[in-house]
Amino acid sequence: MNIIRKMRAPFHADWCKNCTNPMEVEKKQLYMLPVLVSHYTPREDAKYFTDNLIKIEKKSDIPTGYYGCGIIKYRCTECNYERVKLSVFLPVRGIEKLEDVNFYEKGELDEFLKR
Amino acid sequence: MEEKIKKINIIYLLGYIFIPIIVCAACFGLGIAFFPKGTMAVILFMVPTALSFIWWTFGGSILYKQKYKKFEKVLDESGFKRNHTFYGRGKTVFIDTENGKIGLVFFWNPTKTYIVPASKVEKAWVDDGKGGVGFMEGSSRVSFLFVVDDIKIRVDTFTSNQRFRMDSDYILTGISKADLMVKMIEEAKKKSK
Repeated sequence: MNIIRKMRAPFHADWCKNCTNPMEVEKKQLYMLPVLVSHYTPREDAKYFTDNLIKIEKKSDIPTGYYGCGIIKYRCTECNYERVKLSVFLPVRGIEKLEDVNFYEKGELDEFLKR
Repeated sequence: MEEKIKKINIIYLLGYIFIPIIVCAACFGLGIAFFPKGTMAVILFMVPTALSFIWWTFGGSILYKQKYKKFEKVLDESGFKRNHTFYGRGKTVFIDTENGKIGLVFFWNPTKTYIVPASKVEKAWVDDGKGGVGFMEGSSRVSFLFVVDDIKIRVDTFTSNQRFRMDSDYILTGISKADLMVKMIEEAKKKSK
């Protein structure tokens, strides 16, 4: 059973990769990425996001033709393992067109999330 | 009186299509009449044919590209702030949201460029090209349209020879671009005197 959970864990962003338990959401925040439609190229560099993301309260604050970015910080209650999921999307008439998903496990975005 | 917008220059369009055909026909005639054999015959048959295809494939695009590149310089020199530029298929739209102006270049009328006050835009909207019902529902073209001087200008943000679902990435990107352009036109309209 444990082996099956281990195999399934990589496909679940909110599962701990060590103990395969569902992690709790520690922080969730919405941002706007000031890049125009079709001008975004997938990036993994956390600094790019910390330099460019603008904190917003709701999805409707994203102007037409610009990208949004959702950051979720997960923490395992068992082993304290932390993982941050960053997803870039293009909001179009209520639909989120997913552009890019990055995971950060070394605390690259911790300081940024505290701002 | 201000010049009315012309999307197509009929003389250019006819010349674009028929001048290479006329030149080819003349060369073929010349070949048949005077040089039925030899190197000259090959030149008279091959060269105009090749040049015609090169013209139809690249000529118009090169001319059009040169025109809008030159127009960009003219706009910059005249103080037109190019806040948004959309290079559509056969149409380029420049929007100055600060001064409320719109610049236009058309593929089929490369001899003319237009700068119109955005206040002349009667309406602007997005056409997502949605058609079909049920599982066949989809689109193969998304565009934004605006009316200036009773002339409807359609600029495609996405085209395909296939039909895509309305929630496909291509369609959503096309809609987003079109929505953005319509918003920019409306913004320019507010600033226009």
